[in-house]
Amino acid sequence: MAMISIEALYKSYGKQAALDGFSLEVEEGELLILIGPSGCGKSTLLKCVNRMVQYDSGSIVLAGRPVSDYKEELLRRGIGYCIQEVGLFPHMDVYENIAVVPRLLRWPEERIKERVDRLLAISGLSADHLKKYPRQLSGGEAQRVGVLRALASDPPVMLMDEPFGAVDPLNRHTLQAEFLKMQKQLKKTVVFVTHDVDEAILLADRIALMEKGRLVAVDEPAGLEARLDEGFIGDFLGREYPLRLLSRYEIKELGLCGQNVENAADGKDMRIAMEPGMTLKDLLSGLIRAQGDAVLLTTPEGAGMRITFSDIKCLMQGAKR
Amino acid sequence: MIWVRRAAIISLFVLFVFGFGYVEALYSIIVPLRPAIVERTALYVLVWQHLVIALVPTLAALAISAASGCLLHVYGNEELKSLAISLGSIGETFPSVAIIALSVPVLGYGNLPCMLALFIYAVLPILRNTVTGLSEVPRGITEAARGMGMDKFQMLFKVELPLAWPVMAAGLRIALIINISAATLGATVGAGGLGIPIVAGIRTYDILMVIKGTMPVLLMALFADSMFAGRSEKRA
Repeated sequence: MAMISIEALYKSYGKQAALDGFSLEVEEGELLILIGPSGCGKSTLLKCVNRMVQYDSGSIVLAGRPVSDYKEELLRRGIGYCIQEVGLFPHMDVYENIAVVPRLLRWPEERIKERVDRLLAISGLSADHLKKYPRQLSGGEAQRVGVLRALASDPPVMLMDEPFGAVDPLNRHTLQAEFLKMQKQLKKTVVFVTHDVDEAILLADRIALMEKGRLVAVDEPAGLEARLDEGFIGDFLGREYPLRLLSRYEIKELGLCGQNVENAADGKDMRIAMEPGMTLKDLLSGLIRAQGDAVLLTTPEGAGMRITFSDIKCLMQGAKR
Repeated sequence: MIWVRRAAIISLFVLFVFGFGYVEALYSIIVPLRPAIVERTALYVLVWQHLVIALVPTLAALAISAASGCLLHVYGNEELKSLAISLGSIGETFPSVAIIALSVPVLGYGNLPCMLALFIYAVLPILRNTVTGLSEVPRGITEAARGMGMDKFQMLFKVELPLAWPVMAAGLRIALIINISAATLGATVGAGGLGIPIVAGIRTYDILMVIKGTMPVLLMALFADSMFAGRSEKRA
């Protein structure tokens, strides 16, 4: 059964329709990316789920119960919420910020402490950060605290509205990778709004593409590749989408295509050292840069592998399966 | 630093209030023909009266305008809020003498018209700053608070009021300092306090009497100011 099912949702601001009959099901434990151009209604949709915005008609069912059945505040306490502005409370230190929702839920202080310690362990923050105030944190640290705060009461569902949007690209990538690692452990049901295609490709289990308040397509990142010829999908995702898609696949996780392994380097091909987090896109970039038929990928153990374009194709096909 | 400043002001104040008799005696030797002053109330009594006349209306104004500012913030619409803000600005430019004069026909002579005037004078700026402070809390912060499931009053007490406090305190600071000095005007309508020696001194061309009333007022105002200065310096 779907964790969140949204059906025929309508919302208009005056004459402007923000949501125009939107329907979607989000499975339990899934990270669903909502993507679309500015003003397509993606943030409005997110806010309808925790009733920050009152929709005009349609229904949203959360874990089998319509959201309209809940008292607004109680509904929100049960859903993690994370926004681009982060909105940490400047008069509270990091610990108190994370403890906000557990305290609203009247958890005993020991349980909150335990929970904060556990969250800290899975995040990139150290215990020193707990006593700091938001103004003492860097942008990336503040965002991490924002995510931890949303996770504090261990809610099954998280709503994230461009949570990494205001961070510089390098930090953003670190945050995304950390978040992905965390999500693989925690298996939350996440609805994540972004307008960044690369972010969507990297994080999504499925991508829901929106335009003018309607759902245009929803599929796994690799699945959307086949539909690039359909007007808006191709326009928004870009013709280079297949290339961007390569950055989703880490070489380490794929298990390299075995047939081309040659322990003895033949010396002619350009060498690329394999690094943690290296993706197929990096590998292809190396191949293009080498301007030859193949590159030699060297592992830290000293083994070398000759990789050609057809190997990348083979890896790609393997990854999609 | 701020503690040194406060201690200095307080010791000067105590020295002046309890040691003024000596100054007066010394002065009488130099200027033997001082006019006979009817006022025989001890200086510390005047100081006490003055404090009551200045502080009670200011604190009452703080309570009332903070409460109404919060209600306005939670339940009021934008028009009401901007009305409160412009009223506050107008109220600040209105001379306190005029309010004192206007309240005499209603309340007669004595402490009451003076206290009413000071109350009215303080209410508007504090109300304005409360409304401004509450509405200036960044949207991202209120949005996060709401999204985490705080109700209106939890948002107000846990988030908005603590963040609005510096702005509110600025309004209180202005109101308090002005009221400490404006309370001297009460003497013209029969109120007690340090206005009595000042008014009497002006009438009889006795500079020492004017100084006797002015110095404690000055030191009290400085002390009130230093209380708030400590706050804002710590925050910055």
